Amino acid sequence: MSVERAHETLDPPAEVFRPRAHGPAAKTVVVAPGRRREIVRRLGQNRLAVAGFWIIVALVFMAIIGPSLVPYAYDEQNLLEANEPPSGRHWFGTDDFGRDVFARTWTGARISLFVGFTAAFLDLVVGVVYGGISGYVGGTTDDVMMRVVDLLYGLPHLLSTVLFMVVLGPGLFTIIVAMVATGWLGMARLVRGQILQLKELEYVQAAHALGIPSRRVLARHLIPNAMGPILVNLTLTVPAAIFTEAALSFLGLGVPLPLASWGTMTAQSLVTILTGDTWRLFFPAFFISLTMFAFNAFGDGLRDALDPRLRR
Amino acid sequence: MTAYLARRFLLSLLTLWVIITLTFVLMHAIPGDPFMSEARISPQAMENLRRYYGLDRPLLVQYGRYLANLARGDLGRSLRSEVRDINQIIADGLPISALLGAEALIVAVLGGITLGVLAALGHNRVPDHLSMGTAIVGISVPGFILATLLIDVFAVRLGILPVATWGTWKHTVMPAFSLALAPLAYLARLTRSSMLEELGQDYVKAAVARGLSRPRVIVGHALRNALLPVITVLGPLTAGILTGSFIIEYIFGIPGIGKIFVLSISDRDYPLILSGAVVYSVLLLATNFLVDVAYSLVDPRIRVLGRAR
Repeated sequence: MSVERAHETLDPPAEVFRPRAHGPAAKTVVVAPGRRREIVRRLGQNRLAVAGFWIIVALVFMAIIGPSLVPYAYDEQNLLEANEPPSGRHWFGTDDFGRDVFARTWTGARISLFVGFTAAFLDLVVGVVYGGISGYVGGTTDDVMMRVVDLLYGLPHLLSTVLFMVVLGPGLFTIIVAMVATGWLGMARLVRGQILQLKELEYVQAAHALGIPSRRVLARHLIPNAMGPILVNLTLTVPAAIFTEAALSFLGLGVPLPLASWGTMTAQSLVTILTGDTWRLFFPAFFISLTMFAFNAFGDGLRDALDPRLRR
Repeated sequence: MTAYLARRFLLSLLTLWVIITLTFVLMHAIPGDPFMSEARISPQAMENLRRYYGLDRPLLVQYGRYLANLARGDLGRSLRSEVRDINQIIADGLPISALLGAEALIVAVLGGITLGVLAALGHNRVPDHLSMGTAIVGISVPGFILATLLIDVFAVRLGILPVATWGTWKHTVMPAFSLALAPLAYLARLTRSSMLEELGQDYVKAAVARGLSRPRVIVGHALRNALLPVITVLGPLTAGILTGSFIIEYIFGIPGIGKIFVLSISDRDYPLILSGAVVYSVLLLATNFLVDVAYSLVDPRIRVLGRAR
């Protein structure tokens, strides 16, 4: 795996500063069943991707069991034990209200991962349906549908998300809605491109000739074969969504208090820079970065493994 | 090419109109009105306020008036801010943000391309690993985290840089770097892969065979072609730096339009939010358009074929 073509940008991303929905290898990747093992093998050779995968597994595991490992609730205040450094009683210390940072960190992980996975999944659903129809029907329908996407694509993602949050008000679900409101655009473009290429192939023509209804051709043949790039895009949407949630929460536009989010925890730890309890900043900062790293490393690895030009 | 650019320009204008309309509708979809939270205000005063800001007119009239004012370059009046004229607020903030953004962009582009080229030349050796290590950090660590860490280390512990606000060049170092790191990392990876690809091309071998010097082959031939994909991402890259500035300016207390925009949101200052969105969109669409122009100038294929996407 020497030549990394991680950023073949035939279709440049909407927002580079967080790799939101970069156009992954725009070449069609038809994943025949026999190739799956090959892809997994190549993914396994990519040490970064493997590390990313296991970090994701560990994060999910800790998000599930983490909060119940300590006898404190994430919002349980104990002002007598405020701002304590990490110790045997409070593994990650306590914050300025005496809340256990360990419990808060893993509650924050639940929120981050939930937001990340849900937003990515909804982007996928909307994008696949929209892009699938646009690409498959083609003609004027495709033109109109894609002009709509082009128009909305001009909006910077974070800006539109912020605007939606202003209207919808803070909350976990409104964050997801605000992100998906423009987040599906990249996926729709990608799916449409894939479908346009795939629908000209012989086996699709054959399916039509056999009288198989369009919906079935789309659902059983076209979408599954476009799955490679879609998966890559999905993996890279998760960290983008997690980042957006953290950034919004950091600005006070995200999940409402006392819910623990890594973004709000970072924002609240800002004062510790001056008081000297900087270890409080460490945990949310470290886990956001670790999560971003894990998903990006895994997503990049997946893209490389799926890229047929890298096959030896 | 002119026809292509004209089409792109019209599309940008249309996008801008859609953004303005969407934002306008969104801002007016918020239940209640901006003065509901004002403490103990007499009904008469309330009515006067609403009339002053034109909120008593039908929505369509407000919209028409807003568009007409925008076309004349008048962004309207802020509800809360001390300087009530939004044009003035933007005029105060924009140069600051532009300076910071330009600095960040320069750091990102120069740093990213340099790292990428070094990585490609030292492929699978130390320079490659170092550059890509930096790139991984840049992609993993969000700007606001990096900013807080920088403040902790350089301002509080070492005391060599000012903590916040705006003034001398020293004030720009940490914010510019926080803004630049993510795009820098992205550019480094992009340049590396595109450079690796070009270095393997026949024309590079031919240039070497003709006895051209190594720097000449690398810079004059390979890099020139490797930079094409880099130019395409300059638009989205600027978008990243622009939206990144919301948070960075907020953290560092820099009085640019990013901070103004964030504050306008927590103040529920709807005209200012609307103006913020419009200003950002204009900047972005302009950048994207310029990038398209630049690209069509650099890549002769586009002049002939139109954009074959």
